[in-house]
Amino acid sequence: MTESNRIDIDERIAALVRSVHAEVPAELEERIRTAARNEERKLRARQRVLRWSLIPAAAAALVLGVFLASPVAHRPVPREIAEIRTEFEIPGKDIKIVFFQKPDFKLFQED
Amino acid sequence: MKDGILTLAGPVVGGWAPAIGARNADPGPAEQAKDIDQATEKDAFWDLLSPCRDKLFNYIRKTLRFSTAAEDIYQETVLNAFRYFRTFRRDKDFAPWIFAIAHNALRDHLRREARTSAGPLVERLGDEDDSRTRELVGEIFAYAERLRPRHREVFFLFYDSGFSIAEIAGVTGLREGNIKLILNQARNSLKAALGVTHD
Repeated sequence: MTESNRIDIDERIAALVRSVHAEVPAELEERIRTAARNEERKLRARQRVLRWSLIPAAAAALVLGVFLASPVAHRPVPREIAEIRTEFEIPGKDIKIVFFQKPDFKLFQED
Repeated sequence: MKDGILTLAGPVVGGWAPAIGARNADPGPAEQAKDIDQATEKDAFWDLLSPCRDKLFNYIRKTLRFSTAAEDIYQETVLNAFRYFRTFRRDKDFAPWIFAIAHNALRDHLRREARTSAGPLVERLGDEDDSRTRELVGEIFAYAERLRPRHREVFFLFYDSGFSIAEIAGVTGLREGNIKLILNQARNSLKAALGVTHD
């Protein structure tokens, strides 16, 4: 079948197929538009409910998060060791020897 | 409404110009802007549907052999398209997109109903003045009726809706080679009826 034959047949079939043609009935069109409007209204209502329920839910989640995170945030930082203290007691002599060790302990240091 | 309107030079699908229009809402509260945007979106949908509405309806009717279920399938298609319009990419043509939705609806319907309950097809055709034309139309639709549903879809997408082979592949998910084969079979089967004798 040549290209021109093919085009000729296609055009003739298309014309005959399209000769049976109907428009969308007006009542069907109206029914669809009404259904679409209703669906849109429902969707908007659902979105509104979702939007208003989302704010308290987000706030509650935030409070819960802060509550759960607070022990982590306020974990006590260990203090630096300021001094090391060593005590000796000589039994029966009523003598107590105390050593203080500090980072900048200057007592036995020579300048 | 009458089935037998002879429109031998029916408009072809093509140039589905997106008539989306200006979508920029006036600056204002976010809520107001959103409402305006939704309204524009809704208008854009109906504007885009308008030029392909009748073609879509006829494609469904003819694929379902003029069954009364065609109106339900058409409604289902349009509502589904309306529902998922946000997913439609504006740089694409609207017609293949909505026809693909119709194709899915038809496929589901045909799966549910092994055989649609339509009356004799030829009786539903119009009353063309020319008896030869009437006869030819009858032969073509009788041929289409004998086709498998998927082949019938391809036949009507090409000859009735005016889609190209590439577009039909996009709508139906069939390979272009298969579509060409279906169309060639149709040409070969109908050329004698059309009076084409030369090869």
